[in-house]
Amino acid sequence: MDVAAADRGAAERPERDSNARPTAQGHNRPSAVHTSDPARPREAEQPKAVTSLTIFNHGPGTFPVRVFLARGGIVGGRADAGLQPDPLDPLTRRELLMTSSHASNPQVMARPACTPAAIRAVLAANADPEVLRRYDGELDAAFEQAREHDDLAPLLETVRRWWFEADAWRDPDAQREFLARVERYQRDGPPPPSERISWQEIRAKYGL
Amino acid sequence: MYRWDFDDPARRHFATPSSAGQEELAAFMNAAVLVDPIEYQRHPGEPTDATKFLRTPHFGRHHEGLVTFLVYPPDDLVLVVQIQWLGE
Repeated sequence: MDVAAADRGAAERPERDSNARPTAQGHNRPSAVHTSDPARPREAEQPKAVTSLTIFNHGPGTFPVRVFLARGGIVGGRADAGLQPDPLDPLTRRELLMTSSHASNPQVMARPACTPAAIRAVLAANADPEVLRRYDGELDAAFEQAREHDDLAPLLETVRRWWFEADAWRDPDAQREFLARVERYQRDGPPPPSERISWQEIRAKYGL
Repeated sequence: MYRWDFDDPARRHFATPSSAGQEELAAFMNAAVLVDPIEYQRHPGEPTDATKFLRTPHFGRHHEGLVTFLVYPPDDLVLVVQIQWLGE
């Protein structure tokens, strides 16, 4: 299982900008933002960076990445093989806790943190390979889009959307049953009225 | 006007959110059915498949919830099949 940790680079954070919140915390596949040469000159030219976010990944072929944020958005990024996660870091500990398996039911994982690495850990453990590939592809695209436009919004939106997907895959049997059920409803029509309950009945039951 | 039904798993899902989450979902459903459950809060990139009408919009003040439903226009039926609530 992948476990990721984020380490905010205090050395690059002489002043904290409330508008530049380092909220994106993980990414498991090499992408343009990790490896492209254009990122390096940008980093060298970015004395205005006010904070950095280090992303650790433990999957094969992955490596730590440091993303530099400044007032207004992302200003650069670089891979750094020498960086190591700190197990005492609160974010590291939180992700370790949030991605651990549910003690009482090994089939159902705990709800992941809303971070790229925690989401990927659930998908890698439980989802079909195609789902994981789609996640990696969309995250790559969102990461690149965020870097190009100095705007974290697309990245955060993508991560949040996949957070729900990962939440559903915490219980892979239930999720596969759900997908099969939806396919059946689409193919054969809705279940008979005897297998449904109306909104009016639910409202009455819950006093809504 | 469309009517909302829940299949059996979704009925059980409804018990999962807090009462605040249930109220948020109720507000969403009331608004969606008044407008058009096929188009309500459809974002620009959301695919339109006229043969499926499967939708998964968020609900809640901070989008803490996600509801999945199928729309059956001939029956004026909206069938809720999954509810997720990741809020408090």
